Parts: sequence; structure tokens; C-alpha cells
Amino acid sequence: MIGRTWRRPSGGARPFTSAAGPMTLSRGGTETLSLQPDGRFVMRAAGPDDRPRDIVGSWRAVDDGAELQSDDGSLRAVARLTAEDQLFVTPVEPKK
Amino acid sequence: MPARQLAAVARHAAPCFRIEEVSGDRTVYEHRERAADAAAGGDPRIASALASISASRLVQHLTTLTGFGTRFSTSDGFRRAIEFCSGVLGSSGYQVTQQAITVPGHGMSANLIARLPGSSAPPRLLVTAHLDSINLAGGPAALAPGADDDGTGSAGVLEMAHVLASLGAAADVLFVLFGGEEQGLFGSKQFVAAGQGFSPGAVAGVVNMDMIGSDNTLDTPGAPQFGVLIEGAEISRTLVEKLSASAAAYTSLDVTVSFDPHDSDHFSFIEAGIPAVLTIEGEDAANHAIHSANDTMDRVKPALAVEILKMNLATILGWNAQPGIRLSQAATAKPKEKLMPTHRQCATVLVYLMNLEKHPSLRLRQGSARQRLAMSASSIVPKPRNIPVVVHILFKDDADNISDAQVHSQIDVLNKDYNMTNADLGAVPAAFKPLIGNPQITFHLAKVDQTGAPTSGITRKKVSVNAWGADDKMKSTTAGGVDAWDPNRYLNVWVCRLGDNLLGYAQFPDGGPLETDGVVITTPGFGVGGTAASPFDLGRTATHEIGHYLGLFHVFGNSAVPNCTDSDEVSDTPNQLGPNFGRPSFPTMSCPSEPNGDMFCNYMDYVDDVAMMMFSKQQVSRMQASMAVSRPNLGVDPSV
Repeated sequence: MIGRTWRRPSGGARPFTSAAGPMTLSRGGTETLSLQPDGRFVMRAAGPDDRPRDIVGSWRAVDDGAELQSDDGSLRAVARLTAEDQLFVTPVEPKK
Repeated sequence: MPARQLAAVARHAAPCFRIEEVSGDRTVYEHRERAADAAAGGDPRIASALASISASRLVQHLTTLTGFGTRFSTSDGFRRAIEFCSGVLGSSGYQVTQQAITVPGHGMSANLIARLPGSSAPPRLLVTAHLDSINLAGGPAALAPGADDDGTGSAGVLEMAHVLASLGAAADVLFVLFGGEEQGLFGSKQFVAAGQGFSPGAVAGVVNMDMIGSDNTLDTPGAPQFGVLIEGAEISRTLVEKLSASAAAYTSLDVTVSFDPHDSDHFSFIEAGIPAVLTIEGEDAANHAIHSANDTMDRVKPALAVEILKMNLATILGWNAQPGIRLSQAATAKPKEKLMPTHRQCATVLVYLMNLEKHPSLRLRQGSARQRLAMSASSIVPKPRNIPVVVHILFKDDADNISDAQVHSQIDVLNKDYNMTNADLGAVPAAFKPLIGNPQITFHLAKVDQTGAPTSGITRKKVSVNAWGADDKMKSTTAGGVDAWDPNRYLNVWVCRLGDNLLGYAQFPDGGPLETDGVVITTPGFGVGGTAASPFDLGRTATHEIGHYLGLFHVFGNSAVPNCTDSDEVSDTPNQLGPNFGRPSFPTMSCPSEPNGDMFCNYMDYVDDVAMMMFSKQQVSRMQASMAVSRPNLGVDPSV
């Protein structure tokens, strides 16, 4: 999971994959997620006007994956491997 | 009698008012000279803490509140506003409860009450506003965005709650959003009567905010930029003086005070012997947009609301008799990091309002307050629009030098999709059919260019670029692309090969520099036939991107990760976990709160071209409002 670049057609509900090969056209383009060994991550995702935007932040290991926290506070999520080549990113519920 | 009081009596015949002869030596409104109240610049720790107030967060919340159509006390919009505010306050760490109230003649409504969990002592300070809105002429179902009255106060409560919690200074504060205010202060009256969550004898002060964001002094020669009225009664004189001193020490506000309370929820507390104060924008009687469909976002000046919030927050932080507030901690504590957003950010309106803050000339361009009012009205009475389009074709391979026919096919699609004449409209699931909206916007290829010379509305340029990024270089001749035609008069569409499998992207209204305004569509996603490739070969990518260009968000929200809590800022599209793809079937359920599931057939989802076929009515309203505010001259000149 770490040190690889994961990709998916734009859209939060789809898993990322590290598989090579062409991706299909998508309204928001191809999204990527790179979890770097130094504890940083870069996610390129479709913005509200479909223009890709970079979300950068830090990650830390949790029981079943990596918790992502963007520097600007816009993203807090957990990345989990659900199959050998399927990485799901799901939001962390706000603390009450 | 003050003008506002006269007007209120005339409008409401409300029971909480009286007609009273004022003796000649009695001061009803007392203007405070700043020097008399100046407090040597104030406490630097408080000044530092006030920097935590966020104008952008305030605008985001206000934008959501104005997006419910109406927040009439017994309406579905009010219920949704309650749910939204509950979520925001919950995210700030508060325990939220509702108090059911009755609104005579209309039915049931609610007050929303928030306090930090674990607070055992009775609250000493209350921060309040009314959440409901009203359209007096149109009735309960009519559009009543209530941006200033009292979206600003409600958003102000959310912001003060957030900041006080993040500063560790909220333990002794109770936050209340009332229903039933517009019908006669019913929410606050019943709140006071029930004593829910507070002990009247323990309350040192109630700070009520009602209309804190409209700058009504624009037309007054020599008037200060921002004014505030602090209105209380003798019982609340201490609080009035503290607020006045805070205004002098920490804000640029021009202060007027009054001890004739009326016309808002502070009155209910004062009647019960509880010291309460109304903080309200200056010259509020000059705000003629309230209680109508014209009380819209474009009238709100966030910087004014922030100044009033600073005054109120500084007063609470500096309240000497308030042991629960740990000022040293408040001034030094690091605010909590922002968690997942609970709703979609409205970049369009946010950017517009922020631009107004940065560039007052933008507001001056609109002219007087009267003209701004006219502008608001135009947002709900749409002009006929026939938008001239210029298509800039950038091609490396000759096969990508698309034909005129393909360009015309795209214009045809736009005219059908934006006029509800698309042949597949009948495929909209029955549950969504009543929600279909008709933008009534037409498009045509420009007839004359910027110099007035006849044109086909199509430009062509051979380029050396294989695939363009989403960095706007295709919009610049010097960067290898083609400069935009005057975006105030033309919709610029660049057609070129985009990289990263991107179909297209747009620029929101006022979302960037004028020279990059327009939309970009990848060559295989443009028009019908020719280079258009399945499943994006029906011209719907342009329909989608122009939706953004006219101010629409995706129906699934803006978060990079799926969630059901963000919104597209329109009230008739269901919340949706994330984008849909391909060709979904009805029902597609992603969020449990939505009985009909996702509106996947909406042009603003991510499905294939063949699966999208409608805008909603509220999306249409948003587009019309957006054009009225940000693109007033687009598509109104028949000669272009």
C-alpha cells in the first residue's frame, strides 16, 4: 500500500487500484493517491468544477489501514486494502 | 417612534409592540462616539482569539441556510435547516436538543438548543438567533431565503459556537436557534417559559443576533462603512455597555445604542426579567429586502457580520464575572483541526462574496443599494437568455479538427437539454418527474466577433500539444492555445484533447480570472458524431460543464471521499453518497435518508451521457440567480 501510486476513475465510491494499463474516460478524469514512505500523501481528485486538484497531507498507520489527514482539513479518511489490489478510502466520522 | 418600530407595527400588528408617545427630551437612539468607549486597544489575548472567526465558514453556512427555499417555521425547509445546524453544532462538539414549539395558526415548529456535554452548572450566557424565515407577501410556501433575516444571525451562532468550543471557552454558554420568530417571537417565548436547559436567575446576559450582515448605509453620504445597533433595556444596560466597549476596542463598528427593545427574540427575555440585548446591523429599517424573496446572499456583506461577531465574541471572552471562560486558554489554545466538512462548500457564492470583500469596486459597480435590490429581484425573475457561444477548436491531428456539423450538433443538444425538449426526458423515473426544471436558456454560435465582424462562432488552431492539462493553457495564445473572447458577452468553449482521461472542466461564476472564464471539453466528449466516442457521445459533457459554469455543483457533493452529509446547495436533489457511473437503474439507494435514492439521471452526476436527462427546479433557480449576479450581460444582446 505504501510507496505505490493508486488510481481510479474519478469518484469517491470506487476503489483505487495499482494495476497498470489504460484508464477509461471519466467526467472528473483519473484520480490518484500516493502514500509516501515519509508519512505524507498526495491525492489528486476531481474538484467541484471537475478540474483536478491536489490534496496533500499526512498519513499514519491504524489497525486496518492508513488514516489520512489533509493539511487543509478538508479530508480525513481511512485507506483500507480490501483485496490484494483494491484500496478503499472512506471518511472518518466527525468526533461528537 | 423609530422607523423600524413604525414599520413593524404597520406590517405585523404584532402583540409585543406598543405605540408610545416619546417625550421631547428622551433619547431613543444614542450614537456612541468611539473615543468615549475606547479601551486602549483592548486585551491583546482577546484580539488574538478573535482572529479565529472565519468569514468563509460563515458564508458557507449561510449559503446552505439560504438554499432551503424557505425556512418558514413549519416548513420542510425549516426542518432541514434544523438538521443542518444540528450537524454543524454536533461537529463542533455540542450536545444538541430540540424543543417542540407551537406556532399558532400554523402548527408545530422547534427550537434548537446546543451546549457542551458535561456542563453541569447552569449557563450564564446565551447566544441566540432565529432560524426561521418568511415571505410575507407570498405565504408559507413562497421563496424566503432569509439571507440577512436571519440567516446571518443563525450562521453567526454556528460560528460563535465553533470558535468558543475551539478556544475551550464554551462551557458556560448556551446556544439557541429559535423557530416561530416571524410569527410573533413564539420560539423564544416558549423557550423562556419552559426554562429548558437554563435557569433564568443564573443568566448574566443574552446576546441575540438578528440581521447582522446588510450594509444599509451605502447610500448615505459620509456614513461610516459599518454600523451596529445594540438594543436592550435598562435591565440589560451592563451588557449593552460591555458590547459597546468591545465594539470600540476590537472593531471598526459605528455604534448606536437603544433601550427600547422590540421586534426580536431579546424582547422575550427582557419581558421575563432576563438581561438580553439585540445586536443588529445599522440602519436596518433601510433593508427593504427582508421578509421577501429578495433577502438573498448578494445583499450580505460578510465583513460586517464578522465585525459584529467580533464585538459579541470579545464581550463573552472578556466577561469578568464569567468564571467558566478561561481567557488565558482561550487566547493561547490552538483551534481544533477541522474534521470532515459536514456540507458542501459553495465556492461560487463564496468566491463572489469574497471578491466583494477584496474589491469594493465590484459592489460599487452594482451601484446603489436600490440597484442591488433590483439585482436581487432579477435573480428570481429570470431574463430571457440566448447565449452566444464561441467554440475554439485546438487540434494536433487533423482528425481532431472537428466539423462544423459536430459543433452544431453540440449546440442542438444544449438547446434541448436547457429547454426540456430532450427526447429522453420521458425516461426520468416517476419519482423525480415532478422535480424536473426548465432552465429556458438557449445557445447559439456567435454571429459577430469582438470587433463586430460576422463570424461562424468557431475558431480553429493547429497545435503541437498531444494532451492538455487542466491548467488553462489552452485559454492563452501565448501558452499555445487561444485567448478567450470577451467572457462578459460570450460563452467560450475550448475543445481539445485533455490528459488524465478528463472529459472536461469548467470555471464557476466569479471562480477565477475573467480571461479563463468558460468551459473546456475533450475532443472525444464533444457533440454528436465525428470524434465523439461512446459512452460520452451525446453531447452531455458540455451540458454538465455548462451547469458548473452557471453555478451548479455535483449532486453528490464535493468531498473527495463518499459521504451523505454534504450538499449541492439546492434543496430538491437528494443527498448522495458519491458519484454514479454508467447507466444506473431506479432506485439507486446510497443514503438511507433519501426515500427515492439518488437522482442519478441528473446532468450533474457522473453517469454516461445516455443516463442523464434532467435538471431539477432548484438547480434552475440557482442557475438563474447565478446569472443575475455574476453574468448579467451574457446572452441578453441579440446582436452578438
